[in-house]
Amino acid sequence: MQTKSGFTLRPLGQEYILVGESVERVNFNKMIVMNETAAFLWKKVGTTHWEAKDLAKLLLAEYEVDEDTAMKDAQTIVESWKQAGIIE
Amino acid sequence: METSRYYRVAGHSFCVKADTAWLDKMNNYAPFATECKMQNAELCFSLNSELTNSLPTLDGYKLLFVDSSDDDMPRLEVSQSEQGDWLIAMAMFRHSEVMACLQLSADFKNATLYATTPNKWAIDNALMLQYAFVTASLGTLEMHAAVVKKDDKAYIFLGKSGTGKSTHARQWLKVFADAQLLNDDNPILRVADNQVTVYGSPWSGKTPCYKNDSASVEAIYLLHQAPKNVLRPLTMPEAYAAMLMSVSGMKIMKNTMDNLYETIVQVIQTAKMYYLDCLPNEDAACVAAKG
Repeated sequence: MQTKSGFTLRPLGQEYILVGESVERVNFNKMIVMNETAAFLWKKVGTTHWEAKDLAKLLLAEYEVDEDTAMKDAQTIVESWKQAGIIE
Repeated sequence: METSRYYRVAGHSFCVKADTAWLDKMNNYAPFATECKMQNAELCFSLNSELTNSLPTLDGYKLLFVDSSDDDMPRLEVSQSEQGDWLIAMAMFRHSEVMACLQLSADFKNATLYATTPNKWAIDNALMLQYAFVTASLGTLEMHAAVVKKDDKAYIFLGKSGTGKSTHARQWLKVFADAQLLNDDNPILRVADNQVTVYGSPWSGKTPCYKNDSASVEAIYLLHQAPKNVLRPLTMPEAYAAMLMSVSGMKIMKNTMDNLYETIVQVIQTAKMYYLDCLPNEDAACVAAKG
């Protein structure tokens, strides 16, 4: 997987928002709200190619979770990002 | 004959140079006229208007995107040259022909409007675009909203086209004898020293309400048509989205978006932000005012 380009992540209070502020996202008229964990992963993967297991590794390294929980959380996030149309 | 006129809207000054046939149609700007000629340093921007038989072509420009949200809304074709200056072709509706072209310097501060006739729609839209582009970096938001002033405080109504912003504003005027319409379509918001102030402008949609007046912003409402009147606070992301949807500006530019973001965040942290389910009746204004 890879994050689509043309999005900007901005802090908003306790959360983050992802907005399409570019010519290529001019018709993306949604705003994605992310919690701190999702925003952490979004920033970490940057423009690299990755799989759900890579997100799980990032979660394991940053937070105190077990492998099963990290993998489950990573898969949930990948699914929600897919549905939001912000990764490909 | 070409003449220069000077105006100040929400504290930002600009110069319009145009044929008097054009300037004579700009009665909506009269309350914002400033007497004396200003030094260039005091001017935010200048618009030069030229009547021409043939509009500029896209030669040397690359089409970036077409902004056309609705059949009844204007269509803007936005292009940029390699040097960074902009060319915006403007049509009154999604499917109508291009009526005028606005050429802007990379920093938006100098512009020329080309049109085949001294068309008021073209100069109003050109100035609204240039004003939004230039002032975005000055803690200023050009809004699509209706505003009512009551007890020296302002109440702002946001919503998609057709939601009933103007209709709701009228309910406030009926319910509160001391309430007055400050602007019906395009007010200007400014943030300074933790205070949000809203200003009238020469642009007010179909309602001739061109007041050179201002008020401190008490509350901002996102309106939604519903079978009953219910008021609730907006969450922060909702408030941000409501504001972002309602501000003008070159939203594809990183610098502009950084500025708009800063200003919007200050607004939603300062003013009360509400979601109002509403009917087009007086009770809606009573429910909103209790917030």
